[in-house]
Amino acid sequence: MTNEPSPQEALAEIAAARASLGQELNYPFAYDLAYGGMLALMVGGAGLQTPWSTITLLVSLAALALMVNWWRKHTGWWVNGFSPPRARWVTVGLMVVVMALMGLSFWPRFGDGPVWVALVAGGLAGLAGIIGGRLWMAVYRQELKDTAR
Amino acid sequence: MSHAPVFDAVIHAPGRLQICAILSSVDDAEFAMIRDAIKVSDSVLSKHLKQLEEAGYVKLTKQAENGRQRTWIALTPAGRKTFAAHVAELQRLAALTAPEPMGQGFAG
Repeated sequence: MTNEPSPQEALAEIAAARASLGQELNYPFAYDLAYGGMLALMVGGAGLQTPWSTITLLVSLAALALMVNWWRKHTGWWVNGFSPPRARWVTVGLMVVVMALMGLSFWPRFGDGPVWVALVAGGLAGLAGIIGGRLWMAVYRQELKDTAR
Repeated sequence: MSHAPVFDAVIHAPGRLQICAILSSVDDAEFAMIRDAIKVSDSVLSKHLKQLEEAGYVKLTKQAENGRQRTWIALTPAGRKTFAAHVAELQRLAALTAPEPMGQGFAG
């Protein structure tokens, strides 16, 4: 009995399976907006005095948990930002930007910087989150296509 | 990271190859998602997963959600490594059996 695929057929099956995953990547833009909002709250809130900095951190972490839960429920799969070899560099870049903005946001809280600096840092983090989210998905999508070849 | 090409008979079977292809691109995936993606019945997918689980290539986790139990499947580190080595072997074999490129023309 020879129902085992040839190497070419097997590689084509792998490509088709990965392509089916790529089709699931059409998610609403609202997801990226929510991700940006979560980062804006986390970074902007870090510049506030306690207890507000703690409250905003907890709310943003809860929002992140809800987002992960929503994604898993609606797509049936999960991949963390650092897993795909190429897309992980988008995550690393975003983390560097967010950490720098977080440092800026600490200025009014631990130094004598004006409060608006924290608000601007939060806004920029939100924007970085939206752009980073879209970019990450584009790179991941391309990575799925390329590894399927 | 490149892996030494090694053929794996457990992974090579149709169905299991597709399951591993999907799982290698994600951290974990839900039973129904894989079933729909590779277009097999629940029982066929269960059989494939049992074989992969017995080989130590996948890990199954049951989670209760809204009163329903959902099964999440992930490749184990051994499964990820074996699948990568298997794909490398398929690529090696495919290159060996690929048709020769056309020559410069018949010069006879």
